Amino acid sequence: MSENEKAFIQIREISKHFGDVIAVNKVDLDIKKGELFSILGASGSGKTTLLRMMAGLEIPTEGKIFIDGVDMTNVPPYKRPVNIMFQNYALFPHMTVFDNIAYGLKKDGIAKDVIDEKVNKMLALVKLSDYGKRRPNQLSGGQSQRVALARSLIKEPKVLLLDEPLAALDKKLRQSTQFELIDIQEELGVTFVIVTHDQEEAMTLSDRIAVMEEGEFVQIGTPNSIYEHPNSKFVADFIGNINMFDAKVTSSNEQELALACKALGGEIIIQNPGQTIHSTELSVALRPEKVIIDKQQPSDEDHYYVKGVVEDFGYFGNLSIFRVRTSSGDIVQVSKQNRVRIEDTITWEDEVYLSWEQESLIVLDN
Amino acid sequence: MNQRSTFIFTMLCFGFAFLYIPIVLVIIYSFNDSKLVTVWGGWSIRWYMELFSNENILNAALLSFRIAAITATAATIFGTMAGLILARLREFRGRMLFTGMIASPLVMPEVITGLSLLLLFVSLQNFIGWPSQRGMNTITIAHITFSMAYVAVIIQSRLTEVNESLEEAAMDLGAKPARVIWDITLPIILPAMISGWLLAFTLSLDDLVISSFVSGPGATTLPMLIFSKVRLGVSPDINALATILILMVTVGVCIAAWIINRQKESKAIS
Repeated sequence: MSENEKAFIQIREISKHFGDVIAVNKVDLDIKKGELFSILGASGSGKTTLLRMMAGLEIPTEGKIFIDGVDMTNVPPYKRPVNIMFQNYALFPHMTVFDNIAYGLKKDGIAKDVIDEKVNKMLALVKLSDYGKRRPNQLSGGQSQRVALARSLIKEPKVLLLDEPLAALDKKLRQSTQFELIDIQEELGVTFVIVTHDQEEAMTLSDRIAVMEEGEFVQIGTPNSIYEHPNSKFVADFIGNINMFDAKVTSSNEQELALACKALGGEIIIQNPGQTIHSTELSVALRPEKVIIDKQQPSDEDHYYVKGVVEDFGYFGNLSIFRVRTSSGDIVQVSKQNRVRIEDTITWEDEVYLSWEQESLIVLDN
Repeated sequence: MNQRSTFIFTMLCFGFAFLYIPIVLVIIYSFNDSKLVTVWGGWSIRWYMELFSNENILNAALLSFRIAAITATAATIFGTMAGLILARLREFRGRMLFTGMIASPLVMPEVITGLSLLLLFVSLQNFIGWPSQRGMNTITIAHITFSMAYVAVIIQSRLTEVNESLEEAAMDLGAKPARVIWDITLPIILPAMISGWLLAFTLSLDDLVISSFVSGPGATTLPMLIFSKVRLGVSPDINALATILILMVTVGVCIAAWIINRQKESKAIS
């Protein structure tokens, strides 16, 4: 029970059915106080439904939600210590920015001078002090986003729910806003629950990520553990780029796993696989940035390597991405940091050697 | 290309001519000095003077405007309520029935609406003694029943454009559902309510058939009066009356168009 006491938001066996469609299927989740938690999934994975159930906008078909130890399952949204920031911001078009932000305080019957003070402070926090008298239709996308954030934070909620908070912003703005969000979260210490389909956004923003698929969690963990130790082919493929190859188990014991993998040049030994393998067919995955590409044959005996021909390549300035066809006929994607300004560049049709460290390989059970 | 645009221009002229020459003629002939409607006898405002001294016409006009104002207000209230339910309550028992019943006055022939309302009022009078006599009250009730359907449709279509997350956001910020309607929904649909009011007003002002069915002694609306006068032969003062009505309708349409335009502009900015 001690672990349960620590969790600030506890979701137990929660489900939501819309007619015959099961949007969320018996989900359990614990979120700690002050955490920046992301729920990551493709559209239709049930992530927004889960968020709306936390806000009280959707009533669960079954299961319970506790926030700060109190059962919130059937509490209406206007009585929850939770606020939500909508994807489209949902700013009230007939009110000024000031009135939008003040709305929640007015509903609580707070004195006018206190409201004025709080709203002005909040406007300063989101760097919109001069915009109080404007209407929502006179704001840019980034400004609207900050007004929506201010409005949802003004009541000092215990939990702030954010539905795709950055999806409507352009790329440059998204990056700066990401860090602003983190700063504000750190300053106020509010627990953030973010729903997003953008894995980059989830990775940079969150303390922990839950990957959702078809109404269930596939994996929950820190960005690092989800990226480096995906527990399934789905997660490995969903987060970042990855090369995946079929392999057969030739021998397996606790210390060593021997695999036959045609694409990676034959036999592969994996020390301390960390998991017991039951099947004989499995997949070996390798991130593109963990492959070293070189025209010279690697001298290091410990490195695994295969020979191949560059089939395609793209130059992105900071890095280059290669698609290499190996001697076995498989395609391996490789990304390479362009650390040296002037070098003997690798280009189309070049013969190259691909090498990697044994620890870089991820074994995924089918 | 040029040939085609000439053709379109000609069609446009013909179209406008077809629509507006009769109306322009009515306006011109309302200033006709002659007693015969079809013979031009020089300019005068004699028929306007006669119109304003004719108590029957003035009373009928006053009655029509009173009925139209009450109808428009009541129809806007009920129609807005119905529109809110249609647009915002997704599932409830009898939704299909409710939707059908709201829409039915739009397609029902007026004669049938009028007749059924007459039967209703007569049997009500037999059973509960009210309405003791048909007149302004019964006409107003009849007008509300059919014009609120139009308002409901206007409100519903406006509300489907309004993102529901606005109302959810207000609720999330601590407003109870009734408060949300007052604070958020109504201000946003206000322009639609105004155009609904104007539409209900003109529908009521225009109506002849239903009014004729449910009217009683002493309650003669303007269209009823005009119709009965015309049956005895067209007299020139009808032209003057028509001109005044045209002027008022034009002003009403302009106001409605201005409201809708302003709404569109503010949408374009956002």
